[in-house]
Amino acid sequence: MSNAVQKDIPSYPNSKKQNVVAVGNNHLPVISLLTIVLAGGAIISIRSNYPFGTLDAPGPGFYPLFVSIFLVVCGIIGLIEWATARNRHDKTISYEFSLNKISFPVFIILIALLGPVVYFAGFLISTIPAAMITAVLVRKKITVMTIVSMIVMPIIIFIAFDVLLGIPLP
Amino acid sequence: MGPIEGLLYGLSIALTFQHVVAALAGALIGTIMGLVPGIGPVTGAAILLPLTYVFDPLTGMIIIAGMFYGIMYGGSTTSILLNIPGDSGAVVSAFEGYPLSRQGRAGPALGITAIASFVGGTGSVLVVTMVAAPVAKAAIVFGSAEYFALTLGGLIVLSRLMGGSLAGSFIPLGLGLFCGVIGEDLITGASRFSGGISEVAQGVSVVALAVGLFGLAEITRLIIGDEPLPRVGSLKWKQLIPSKNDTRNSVGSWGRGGIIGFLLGLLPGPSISLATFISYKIESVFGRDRGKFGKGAVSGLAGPEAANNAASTSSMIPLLSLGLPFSATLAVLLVAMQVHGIQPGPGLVDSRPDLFWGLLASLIIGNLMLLLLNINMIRVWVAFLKVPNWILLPTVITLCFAGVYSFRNSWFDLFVASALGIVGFFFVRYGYQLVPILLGALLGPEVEKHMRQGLMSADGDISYFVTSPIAAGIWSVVVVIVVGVPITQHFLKKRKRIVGISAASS
Repeated sequence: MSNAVQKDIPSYPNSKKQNVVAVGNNHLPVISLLTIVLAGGAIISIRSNYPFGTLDAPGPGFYPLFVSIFLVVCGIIGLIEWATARNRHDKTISYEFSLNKISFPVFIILIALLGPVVYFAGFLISTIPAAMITAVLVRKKITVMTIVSMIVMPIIIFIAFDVLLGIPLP
Repeated sequence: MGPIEGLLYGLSIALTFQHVVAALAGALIGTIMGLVPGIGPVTGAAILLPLTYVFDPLTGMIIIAGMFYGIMYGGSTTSILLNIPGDSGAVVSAFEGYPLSRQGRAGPALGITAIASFVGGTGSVLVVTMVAAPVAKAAIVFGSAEYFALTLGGLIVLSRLMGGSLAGSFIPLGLGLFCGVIGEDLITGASRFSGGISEVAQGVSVVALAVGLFGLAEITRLIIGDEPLPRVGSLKWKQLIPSKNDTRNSVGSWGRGGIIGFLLGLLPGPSISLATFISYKIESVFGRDRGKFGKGAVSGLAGPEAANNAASTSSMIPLLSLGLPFSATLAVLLVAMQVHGIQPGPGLVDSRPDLFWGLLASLIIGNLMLLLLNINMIRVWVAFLKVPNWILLPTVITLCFAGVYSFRNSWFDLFVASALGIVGFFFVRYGYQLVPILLGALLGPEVEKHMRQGLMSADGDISYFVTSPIAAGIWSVVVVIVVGVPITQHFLKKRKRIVGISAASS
């Protein structure tokens, strides 16, 4: 990468360079393409499953079709905006913030799994380890205090919802 | 019922023991949540939402109203004590509040903030009381064409004003509208995009959306963003109550800030931050201690704080009268209302006057509670700021999932919250706005209902949506904003570039 190009890429004063990972080079075409694929799939599904109706009696497929077409148009506009960007800086991803290389994959997987696991394994079984992992990621070390706190805290929340508020948790 | 009778009726409901305790609890919990560094009012309100499920609608709304103000006050507290604004509306508070706190005057700074919030908020509530009901009554004449224009036009304007490119503005809106489509069709009852699964057929829960997009996404950003998490240093102050001189310097600023905030709060978009910045600029010209600006001017703190609360309150007029939230916090407030089966809009004042007037009266009580609470508990808040993040953040995550599940006891909601937590995180990372997703999902069903009802009543004539004078007026405003804003920005950028080039060459 030339120096000229490097100058165009924004820098982040708080970033520790060795811990920063890039997710991709370009978000706009990726998000635009994903939008088009999602909306395209929805249009196919609408055409085969939900009647469009007529203008004076719109069916259940009428409005979703408009929303899907709107999304396809937005996706195409996104691609055009990216393709017509004037210089490399405009095309290069601009992060709102950078990522920590260790916490990033661990916590993304944790959040992705936590919802399903809460339901299938139960609230306490899932949230106690999740809280411990989160605490370790934030504190960057594991202590007896961390373990005890992260066992007690979900139990208190469970009791508060179940007993005090009368809301059963799985 | 006139505004005065309505307010008295509302006070008679809101001043019962149960409701006063609810207002106090809401303000207390809201302030604590607002104090969690990095969590703004939207995230805080989304996380606290589930705690109101078990109460009746009015009590639930009073708690939410108390939380609403409490979270904003908490956001200003971190702004003053730590130089970390809790939300965009509290950014300006740091300009003068933090220097005051560094001078050992954190106590008076927080006291002035509490009084400014009370003056701005209460003054604004009184005007809202006079205006909201007449606006709601006027809106009763609205038909499908006007509502369609208001809801869809409002969504388009808001998405565009949030900033970003054309695609960056509208992709989140489209995704939100699509979320609103999933589930049962309002008119025929047909199940859409549910795959025959009953939980999915119930639709995407607004609570899962709000908690996932704002709660989990923000926590994810705090934990895996490579930024140092905020810490609290030791703080000292000599007195808690503002001095006579401080009060003298603040009185005019409270009034000016309150008026600016009220007027700007009626506009869609980032009106609250705009109001605080304009108020700050005005105080730098008219404030009694304008010579101290940047070094801890009391008027530079009092004005924007009053503007912040006044704008937050006046922005409730479109929500209560028309059912249209103009900001993210109000969108979460709308979610809270929907959770309790309340649909704000023109019909609310007639169908549920107890709720309408009770909520307005509870805003006054919530403000009063906040004032009493904050003057007496400033020391407690400072102590709370020292609770370590490794305890706070896991607690918030656990609360998020407990809250999402307890809303409908649905596994689908847990899946949605998880998924949206990740989607929301990446959207924020790439600079996309999350508010249009939530608003699209919230108001999408309304857009569809009015679109289909309008087409049916007009026998398929599309021109029906633009021929009524009100609808035509709304669409004209939408076109002016959507087309006018980028053109103005383009010319401003061009002018800046020319000025920059000429300055460089000279």
